[in-house]
Amino acid sequence: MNKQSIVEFESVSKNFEGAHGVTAVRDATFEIREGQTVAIMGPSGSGKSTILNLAAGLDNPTSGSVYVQGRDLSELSDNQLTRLRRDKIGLIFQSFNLLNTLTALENVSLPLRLRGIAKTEAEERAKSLLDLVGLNDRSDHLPDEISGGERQRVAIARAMVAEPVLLLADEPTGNLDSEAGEKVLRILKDLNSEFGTTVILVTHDRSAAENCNRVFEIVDGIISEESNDRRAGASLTEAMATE
Amino acid sequence: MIGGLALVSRKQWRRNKTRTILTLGGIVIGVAAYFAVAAANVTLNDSLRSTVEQIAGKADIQITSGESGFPEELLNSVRRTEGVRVAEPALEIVGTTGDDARLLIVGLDTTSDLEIHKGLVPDTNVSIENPLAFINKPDSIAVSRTFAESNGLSEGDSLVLMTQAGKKSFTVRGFFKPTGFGAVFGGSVAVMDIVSLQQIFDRENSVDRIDVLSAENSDTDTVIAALRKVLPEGINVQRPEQRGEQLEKSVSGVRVALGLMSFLALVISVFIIFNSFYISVSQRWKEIGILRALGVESYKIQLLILGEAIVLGTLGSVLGIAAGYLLAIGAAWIMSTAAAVGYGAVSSTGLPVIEARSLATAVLLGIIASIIGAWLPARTASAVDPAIALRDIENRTKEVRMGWTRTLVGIGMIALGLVLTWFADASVGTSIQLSYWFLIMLGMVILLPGFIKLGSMIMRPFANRFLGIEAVIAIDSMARTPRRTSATVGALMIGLAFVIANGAVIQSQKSALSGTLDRSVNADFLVTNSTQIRSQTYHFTEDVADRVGKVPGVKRAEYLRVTSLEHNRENVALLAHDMEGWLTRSPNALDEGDTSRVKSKMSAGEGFFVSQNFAFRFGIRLGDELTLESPNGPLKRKVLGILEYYQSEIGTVFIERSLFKTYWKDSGVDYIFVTADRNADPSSIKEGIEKAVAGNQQVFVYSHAEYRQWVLGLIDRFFTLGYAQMVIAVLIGALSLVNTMIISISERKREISILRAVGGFRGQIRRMIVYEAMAVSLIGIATGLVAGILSAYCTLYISVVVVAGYRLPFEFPYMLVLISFPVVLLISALASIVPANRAASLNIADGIVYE
Repeated sequence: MNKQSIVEFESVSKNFEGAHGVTAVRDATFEIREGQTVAIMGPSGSGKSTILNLAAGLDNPTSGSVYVQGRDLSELSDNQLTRLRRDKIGLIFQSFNLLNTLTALENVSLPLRLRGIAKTEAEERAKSLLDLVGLNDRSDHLPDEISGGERQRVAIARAMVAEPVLLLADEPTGNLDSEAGEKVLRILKDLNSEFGTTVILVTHDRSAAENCNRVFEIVDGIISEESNDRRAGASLTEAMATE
Repeated sequence: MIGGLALVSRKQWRRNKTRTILTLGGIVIGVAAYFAVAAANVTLNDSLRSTVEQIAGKADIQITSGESGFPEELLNSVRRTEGVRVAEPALEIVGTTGDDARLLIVGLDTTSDLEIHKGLVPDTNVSIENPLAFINKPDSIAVSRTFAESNGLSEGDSLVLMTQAGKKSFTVRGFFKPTGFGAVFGGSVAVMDIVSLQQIFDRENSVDRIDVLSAENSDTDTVIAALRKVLPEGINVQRPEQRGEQLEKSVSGVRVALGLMSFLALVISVFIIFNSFYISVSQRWKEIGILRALGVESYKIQLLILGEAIVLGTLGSVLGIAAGYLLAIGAAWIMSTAAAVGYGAVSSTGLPVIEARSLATAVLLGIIASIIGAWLPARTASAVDPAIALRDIENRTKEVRMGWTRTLVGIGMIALGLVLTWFADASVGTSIQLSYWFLIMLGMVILLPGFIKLGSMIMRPFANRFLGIEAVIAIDSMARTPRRTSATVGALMIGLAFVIANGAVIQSQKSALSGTLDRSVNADFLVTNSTQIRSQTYHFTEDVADRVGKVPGVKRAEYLRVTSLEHNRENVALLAHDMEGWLTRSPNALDEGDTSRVKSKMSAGEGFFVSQNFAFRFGIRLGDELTLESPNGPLKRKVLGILEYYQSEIGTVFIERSLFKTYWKDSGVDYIFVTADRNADPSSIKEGIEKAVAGNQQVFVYSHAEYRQWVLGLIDRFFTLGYAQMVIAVLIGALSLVNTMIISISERKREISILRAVGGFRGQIRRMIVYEAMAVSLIGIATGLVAGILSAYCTLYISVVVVAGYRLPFEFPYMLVLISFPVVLLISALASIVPANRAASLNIADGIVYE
């Protein structure tokens, strides 16, 4: 069975205007299909996060088109875009971006409540997600009261609570120690295999990328997909460097 | 290093233009309000003084005696006094044209050299075509060109004025240019021969003033002392400028009210400045951390923030002065209008007068307010731990915790303020009394974080259940930053407290006056010929008043003359009543004393009644002897009764009318109290009275209910300023809310962007901001209610009981509260529209990376 296209970039470029204008993405064309796990790698400032923002409709391309499930984002109104994000896309950030005044449970139920779902029902669903990420005992804690790894797991639960088809994770392990980082990556992998959620992961971490079906590399705004051979080589180099 | 820090500040201002502009706006509001009131005050004083000086001419001494004037024969004694070079009599009458415009007519001895008064209008400015006709014809009048032009008058035209002697026609036979005296009261002035004026106004042998020019080699004070010796008690001898000061005193109530308003604006601006700097420090947490890490000492960080406050304070003050100048035009108009409504003293007001002192004070206050507002944020900034700031940008500010110490300090300050108010002494002065109120408000401000926590705890479950997650986030956002929220809540609280206190004072005064009207002014009809409550410019003559008594259906007509006299150097009201009639009609008029037992004595002129505030101010008790100084010698009687009466803030004395006529040689009548026959038809009585007096004088016939309504309406007019202040207070509070919300949004870009990123619609973001504004204003309303009740108590007790000596029952302004609270909520919702739209249109991607 042909897998459906989830995200498609067609000749997308993104320039940031200013005194020293920057081109963050140059003529990017690629397609990501349902159920795939994709890593985007690259040095700081190479345009990784911009790719994610464009895919989530948080930012508009300067030229070209971004499609999510076949819909051209540039043709959607702000409300349609918001609805798409709310119903189809889950976002995970490096700095967690939880609301500090809401408990873990309230943070996770937030997208559902914004959707107008009753508090009880939204919290029931949020509890099951917290259970899934192993934090059912932390549901009444505020973000300040839990560890970094736990915060990121709450953020994953929040991203997954609306059962999105696409999960966009921007350096989800960047602020975590290796143990917590591994736990987060495991959860993302499980979500992909259990629910078929497409995952796009921006990362610096080669080992995190290793677990993905596809790896893209972006340098100076130019994105290219690594071949399997190159990925194997890169892995080996990194392993040697570690030793 | 200073240069480096200044660079940091400049960059900050440039990068955060909105915040900088809003901070400046806060300073501008406070300084503009202060400067407007200060300039309006100076303008009004200037105008009052110049009025007195223009009317006084070259005189260096003025002799006066209350409203009734004094015998002309004293002129001879004055002229004979050593050191007096020239003495000229003057009579002042106010007439009304058909359009109800007032005209001050000054009667001068035109047959004399007019050495003093000639200076009023230089010859070159006067044009009298036929001087002989002017002097010989008693109806001759000279008017200012301004008045002539506005009334279309030319030489020989007749000018009809309503006077106490009925409708009178004058002939315009002279004009003078609208400069100097001609500009007084906006040019609504006229000059006549004094003898003609005396005849027309039934004031034969009576003058209002003798203007004196002392001899060149004489010391004015010595001449004043000599004149005081030769003239009877009750006659005032003073320099013209002292008379100006008395006029100034007559509008002191309005000035104090406007002064309070400007103080309030300054207090609110401190909240706005605090808020702006607090958020500025919060946003610059990391920058401050970097500076600290680079070796900038903590006191220099504090200086950096305070230096910014001083620069913005100076700039804001300069802008505030410009805005204040425009406001001053309005404030001066309000002052003179309020003065005219209450006291009949109309003053011409031109462009605001600017004094160097007001300018300097305004700038200084703007800078001080900025330093006070920035003090705490500066201290917070100086305490930034660079390690924490650089590592964890999430925890930017230390928030206040409502511990027991803070709670006790807050409660203690409120209690202390109340105790000080309770034991307040009138002699300590307004500033000290105001500080008691300030102490109470400061206590409330200290408790605000506690109120906010309590308020959010109450509102959150409600919001969670009924309004959705956006309301919960809104309330959380408010509760998370009690310090920032306190600034807005504080501004609203102070504004509302002012509204409630003002409302309570007005309501209490109306209620007390209403009681007095029912108890003492309870005739079936009340006949008067003036629409002024305090200044009786025109009076009925006795023969006109007698006609009222003869109207069919009138059982009894009592006469009342309302005037004033000097007592212990204070101007008190003197009410000359037909005691027999009054006490028969009002058996419960007295609070102390037995009406039935003293009625005959009072009717025989053997005693006085005094008002409660007179007794309080001059330490008079029932049965004490009291001596009044009349133009015809001292008058000593026992005080036979004390009653609550609100004619004068200083005090009121009641005497039998026949006694007044004997000692004051004044038979004028200001009010006629009519008791109707039981079966008489009220409308035919009213018609009968109007017919009896019509054609002779202006007449207003009120039934008891109508009179009540009229007096209470006058109070409302007098308090127009109070109502205007309430509106301004609420608007300043709302402005503070806009300021806070806009600044708060720039602080919360990230939070708002997260909400948008996880699926929040723009509409939901807008609602969240509106909910937050309304939650803040709900707490502002609740705390404003508490602060308002405390302020009302302070204001009523200090300004009314301690200063004026009245005993006012406390009346809570329920209606005002019921109306103003929804209005405040609505204004808050409206005020949040712009910030809400700004929040909804934030760029999500920018916001998420925002630090």
